[in-house]
Amino acid sequence: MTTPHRERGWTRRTFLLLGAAGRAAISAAVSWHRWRNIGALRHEPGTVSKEDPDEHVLQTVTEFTGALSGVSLSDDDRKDLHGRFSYAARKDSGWRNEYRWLSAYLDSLAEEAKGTSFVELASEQKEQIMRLALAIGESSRAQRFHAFLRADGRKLLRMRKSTFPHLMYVYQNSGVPWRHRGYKSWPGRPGDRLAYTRPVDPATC
Amino acid sequence: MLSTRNYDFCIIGSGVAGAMVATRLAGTGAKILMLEAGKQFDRSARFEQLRSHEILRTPLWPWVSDDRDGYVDLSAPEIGYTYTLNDSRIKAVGGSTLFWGGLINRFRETDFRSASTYGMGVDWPISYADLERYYCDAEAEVGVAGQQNPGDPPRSRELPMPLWPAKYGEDAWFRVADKMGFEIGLANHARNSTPYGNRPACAAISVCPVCPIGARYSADYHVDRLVADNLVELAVETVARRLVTNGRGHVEMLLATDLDGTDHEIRADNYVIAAQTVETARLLLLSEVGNESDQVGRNLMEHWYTGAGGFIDDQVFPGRIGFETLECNHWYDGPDREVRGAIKLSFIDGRDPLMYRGGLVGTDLAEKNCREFGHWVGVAAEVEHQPNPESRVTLSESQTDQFGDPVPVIKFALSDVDRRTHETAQEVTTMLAEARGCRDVASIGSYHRAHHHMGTCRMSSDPALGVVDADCKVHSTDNLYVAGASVFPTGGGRQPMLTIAAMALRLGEHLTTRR
Repeated sequence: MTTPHRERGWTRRTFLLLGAAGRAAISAAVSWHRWRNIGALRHEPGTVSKEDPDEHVLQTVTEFTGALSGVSLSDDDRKDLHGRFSYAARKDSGWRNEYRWLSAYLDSLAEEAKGTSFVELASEQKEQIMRLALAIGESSRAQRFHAFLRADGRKLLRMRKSTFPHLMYVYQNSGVPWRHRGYKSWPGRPGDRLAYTRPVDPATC
Repeated sequence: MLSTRNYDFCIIGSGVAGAMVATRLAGTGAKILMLEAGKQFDRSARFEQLRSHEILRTPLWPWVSDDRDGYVDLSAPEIGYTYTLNDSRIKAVGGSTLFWGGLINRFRETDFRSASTYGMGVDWPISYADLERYYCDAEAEVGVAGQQNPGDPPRSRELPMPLWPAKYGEDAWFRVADKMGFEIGLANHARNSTPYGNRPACAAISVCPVCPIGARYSADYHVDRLVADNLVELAVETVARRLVTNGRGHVEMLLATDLDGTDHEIRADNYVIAAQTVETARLLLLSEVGNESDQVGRNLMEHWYTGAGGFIDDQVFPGRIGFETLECNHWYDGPDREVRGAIKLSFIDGRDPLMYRGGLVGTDLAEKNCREFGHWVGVAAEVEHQPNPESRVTLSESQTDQFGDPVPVIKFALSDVDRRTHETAQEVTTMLAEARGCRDVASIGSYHRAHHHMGTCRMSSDPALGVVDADCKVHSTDNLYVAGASVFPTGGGRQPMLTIAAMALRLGEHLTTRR
């Protein structure tokens, strides 16, 4: 014989247990979401370093940024970007590490496709490799999740979510896009005070 | 040290309001102490600060800290987003003039009497004529380049520097204005068009909010000079926490604590709070001074931006300076002003296609950049926010700062008039962009903030309706004054900086009679 209490099924204890399990599940989901979006795929700030960044790495990142922005870099452009990435790598070892990983990854793609390093490629080939690197995580949610489960996949997703926007941010704020528009001065660099009253000559863009 | 000296004047805050009060008092032989909650920054570090921002995305103005300068914002239901207060103020020597655009204007005559002219807002207890000579003095102190524009109120003195001419391509806006029957003027600037005030002429570095060479005015220049000449004693990183009265309206002492934790009891004959709109109200509320009629903190105002723009065939080559050169006051007053607030227009360009990439990279992005760069122009409207008692600063009941004092709670509240003003501004700017021949005209968004905080300690002859009298003295006290935009009864639609400076010079002159 069972007691009426047991026959009811939904006891206060059941409610409490279900509530606790629900809270735990939501908490775990939120944590995973935060870890994925805020932790695992976000740039991890590092420390200031006096050590010179690796020259090949800086060259590779500079060339890759040229491919990202679609411009053919002049020597002045390279010097400008190189100086900025060098600054970032010195001020933040987190970027130094990201640059190193990106450089190695690009070299591996270049080696596989053309048997050489990324910086040695012709501009069309750099653009092809750049698009290949960007393709990760670009497709479906399932593919992104699949990539996320692998350590190198997570690295690539982080490149896409954090490093590539950083490279474009540096590019945008550099003199490179302005030079390609025909400008002789740009934000951050002193110029002729009244040049703004005249057209840019010759305008290249 | 601060507890052992007696001062004639204690000025709380070293922004433009505090600097101008001190400038007018300097030379009278008065012992002046200036307190600053923030630090003194090295101007020579500004290039490095810019470089760090351009590469590492560090804050352009690293002078605020959410940890130290906490607040609570309740504005989102009204304006559609959280108002991040610490993006809009700077605690440092020079105050918020360390980061500002440099456009500068007098208020118009009607701004001082909007109730009697348009039946909305309140009248100031002083008129434009009362302030005119202080405007002239403020223009000389700050250094203003410009001209008398259509719709500007009358002036008795020329501006000290030549104007900044219009940008290349802006003649098209003049043609639109001629065709539609309104006038456009050249904006005035607190930006040197020639060397002025021991500061160089602008070098077109185009990063104006943080002028690395000081061509755009910031109040730290005034403070530095006063300190160097031993006219003012400056105490930085010292936070004013309580005003202590004798119970009969006389402030006997200011309690302050520096960031090392040392407490100070500061005694002065007169006190001036010049701590920007939010902190000025907060100090009065914390001290329970001046709030007999429940007016402290109320009527918090901003200037809200909207506008519209689109693409044009011609190329305007933007980005070679960091400021706008044209303004229009046609919609500032006008026949429908009984149902809306003031609207001031400026003409903008420079939407960078690289910031609106739409996922494009490589040669596709380069093509978009070439196709669109310099081919976008628009009109921005800065609109008046009517005084509103529900728009206010209060004290948090649950959150405190590092000293255990309640942090401010801010709430910007809008009225139907404010919404109507905004809608009118959107219609006008859209119409003008279309008249300019823009394609794909679109709004630039609604209720963008101008970072102009005004109100909270309204000036009124009637103690029941305001916090300070026409001399900026807190009604219920005999030696406590307020300087800054806190005392503005209305905010108009023009930049408040020059009116802050003029009002502070006027207060400084009044205080010379208190010695």
